[in-house]
Amino acid sequence: MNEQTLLERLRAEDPKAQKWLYDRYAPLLFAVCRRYLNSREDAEEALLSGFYKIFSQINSYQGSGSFEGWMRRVVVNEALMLLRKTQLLVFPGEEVRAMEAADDFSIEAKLSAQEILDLLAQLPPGYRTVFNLYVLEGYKHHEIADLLGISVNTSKSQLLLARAKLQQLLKAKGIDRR
Amino acid sequence: MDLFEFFQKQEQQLYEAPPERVWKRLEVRLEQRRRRRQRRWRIRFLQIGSVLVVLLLLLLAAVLVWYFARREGL
Repeated sequence: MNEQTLLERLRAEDPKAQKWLYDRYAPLLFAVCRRYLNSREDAEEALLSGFYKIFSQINSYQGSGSFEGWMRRVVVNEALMLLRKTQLLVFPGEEVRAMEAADDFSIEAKLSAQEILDLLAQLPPGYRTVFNLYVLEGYKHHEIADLLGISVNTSKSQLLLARAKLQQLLKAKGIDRR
Repeated sequence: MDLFEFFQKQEQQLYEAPPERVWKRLEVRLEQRRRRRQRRWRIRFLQIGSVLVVLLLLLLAAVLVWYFARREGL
């Protein structure tokens, strides 16, 4: 099914097209939700409301940018909303300099999905959210600042702290390579 | 490999099909939405239909009044 046909059928609320889209993108979007939310139940909830929004607001997709990117943004927003509701999304301004990340840090290991999720789960929600948005979603600091209602500097420092914490955790697991 | 690159490369490993219950719940919500929209359309159809019937009756009444008034030579 090409994208144009798919969009027409989704706009007509065709249940078969909705199921096709869900089957195709649910694994990717569920992974997105799991990276933001520690609990599996919360990730399922965010995925469900994300897909509901995708289907009910399909007319707001104007075709600028990729459809997958648009769906990802919708689901990320749902995950952030749930995160704000269920957890305290604070952005502590710790001593960045003390925890500054080493620039020469290098890693070649291969981790399992569970190990990656465990590592991300050990980050405080603020660090994890900024890390996910910047590194894995490709947002810029000013976009993150707008999205989370924080300053650009806070976004930068959270990323630095997340990086330092992850390096620490990887070293503790003995899987870093300098 | 740099830490950011490392996580970007590992991301695909996290892809995982969600449990079947998520689709079931979504299906129920979508069906409820379809029903709500259908109900809204039915109500709108009835509203517009009622207005049209009233207008037609008024028009008919006006034509009848005009016709009988003309016949009576008023």
